[in-house]
Amino acid sequence: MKMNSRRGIHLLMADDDCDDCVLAKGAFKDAQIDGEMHFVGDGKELLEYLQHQEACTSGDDTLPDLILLDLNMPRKDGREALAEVKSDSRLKTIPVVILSTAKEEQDVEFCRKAGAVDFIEKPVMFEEWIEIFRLLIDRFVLNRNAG
Amino acid sequence: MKSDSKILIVEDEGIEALDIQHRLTTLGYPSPEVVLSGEEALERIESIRPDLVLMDIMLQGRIDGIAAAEQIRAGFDIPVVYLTAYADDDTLRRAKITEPFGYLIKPFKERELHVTIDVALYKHKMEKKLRENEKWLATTLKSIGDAVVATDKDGRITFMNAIAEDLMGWKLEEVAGNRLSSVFNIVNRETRLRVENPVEKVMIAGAVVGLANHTILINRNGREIPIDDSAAPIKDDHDNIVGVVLVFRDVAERENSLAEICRYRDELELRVGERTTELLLANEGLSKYARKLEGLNKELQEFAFVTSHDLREPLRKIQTFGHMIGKKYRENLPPEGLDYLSRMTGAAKRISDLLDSLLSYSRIITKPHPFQPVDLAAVARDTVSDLEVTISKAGGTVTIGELPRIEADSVQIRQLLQNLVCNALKYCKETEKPRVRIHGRTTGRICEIFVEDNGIGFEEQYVDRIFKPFQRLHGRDEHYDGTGIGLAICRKIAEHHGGYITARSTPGVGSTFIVELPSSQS
Repeated sequence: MKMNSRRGIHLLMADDDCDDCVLAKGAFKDAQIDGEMHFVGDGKELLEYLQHQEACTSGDDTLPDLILLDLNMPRKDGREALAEVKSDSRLKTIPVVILSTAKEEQDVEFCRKAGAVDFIEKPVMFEEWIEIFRLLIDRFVLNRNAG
Repeated sequence: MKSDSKILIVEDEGIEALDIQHRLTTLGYPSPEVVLSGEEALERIESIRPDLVLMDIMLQGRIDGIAAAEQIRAGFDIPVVYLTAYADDDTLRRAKITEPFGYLIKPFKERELHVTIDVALYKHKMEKKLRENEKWLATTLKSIGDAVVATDKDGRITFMNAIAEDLMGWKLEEVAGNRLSSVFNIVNRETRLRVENPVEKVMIAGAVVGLANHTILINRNGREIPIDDSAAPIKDDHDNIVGVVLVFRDVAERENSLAEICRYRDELELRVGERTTELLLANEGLSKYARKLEGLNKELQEFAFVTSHDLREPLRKIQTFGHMIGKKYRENLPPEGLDYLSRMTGAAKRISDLLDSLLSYSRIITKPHPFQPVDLAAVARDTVSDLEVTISKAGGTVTIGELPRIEADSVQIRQLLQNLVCNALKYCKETEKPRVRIHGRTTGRICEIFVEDNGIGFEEQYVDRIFKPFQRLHGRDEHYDGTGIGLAICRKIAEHHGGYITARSTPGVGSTFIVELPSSQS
């Protein structure tokens, strides 16, 4: 846990839905996760953000530990963004979890093949949001870094 | 020459008569009779019918020999040989008219008598045969339906039958001896040019010739008759052409019926063509319509899919924020407010369920899987295993009987069985544990799947309603909840496979759902 000892966990969420961003922000806070969470509005912003962070400094510490990606977004949707992230030698190590309104069989299949580590349907209950954050951090950030 | 011919001798001189009678007996003619006068001869001929009469020309009495012979010739077919001692020219001329078969000049020798009688008998026999032949020929020519004209070697008409007379407009007696070409005017129907006379052609060819098609006979009355003919040479024993026989017939009727047949055929072809075109157009219209319908249908399904997909998002927010209010601000809300909130989130949940149902319903058409061989028994086992929790919660049992293999969308078939089993578990009696049995069979190219239960059943008059989307037989507040899409999905799946679903039921006893699917999808 060398990174979060320095600056905590860094989550990045790409979603054009403000409501979901509000919910996610609240859940992140209520989950009492040590770290910070950033938001971008679509796939294009996501790539710009990542490239900017990448260029800023040479360290891994400025890149997010986990990306939460919505599928249906303007300009550049989640599928395209996922493919681009996964084709970048540096960015492709960041785990990407799809967080979408509906769990369509073909989308799940596509994203799995494209390199997403999980596909989660946006929950109805706020408690579920919190639960999801805890679970994801535990599985893809803490355990990954520990291992 | 041995002869059994009966001969009657007519001779008024007794001694001479007896002499001839004696000589004939000697020659072998059986019992020749003698009469002395013409009258007596005619009487006797009537009764004995002799084969030949030897007639003295000079007879006493009212009728002399010639007169008697005359009557014999007219009344009987018996040859007469005259006996005469002398004959003046006048007598001979008279005798000749009676066409006698011979003369014996007295006195004659035995041999002379014999030869003359034999020749007369032979000649008579031949003439009779000839007459018979002629009669036969005449009858034949008269009876046949074709016109027959015969000519001599110069093309002069010697014979015409009645049909030939009728078609040509001439009687034989009017044109006998005339050249055929003068009364047999034939032209080509199209060119109106004279067609070569078949008689001349036969004369040159020496063989049978036929007329070209489309020949028209213009007869005496100017009537135009389409004819078909052939002409053949008449040859003598030395193969010399001695005449021509022309046979022709009126083909107007045949041509008319032929023309009529052609007309009918053309008309029929035309009509068939018209109908075919109409059919093709109709077909084209239909397939265009079908394609359009198919497109519209797909569009509608996609619309339903996209709509339910997009509606879910705001709906989820209503639920989420509703729950958050209920949780975070529970203390700040009066019980009434909490009740309203709970009703609101409950309604939102219900819309969400309906949208889920609508989505899975439209997925059957918009998101099908390929048809492949499916072991229904394996699918049934998977289904039961998936529903283990539901089954045990209901305290029920599901048994699987014989099930065939078919070609199908296995995902959809699984959904179908799952919906039917869930349906059976749901509508169970409160007093009885649900028992469900799945089995099936293949008959010919049709596979039948049965899902039987011991549930509450339903009135069969509602059988059509239960397979319609969002149609329910029970109120929502009753014990049985659900969106009313399960069986509609089953029907949609059956239809997607080219099959159908129905059910038999007795209220209070149970139901059997029957799914009929084609065994193969090719």
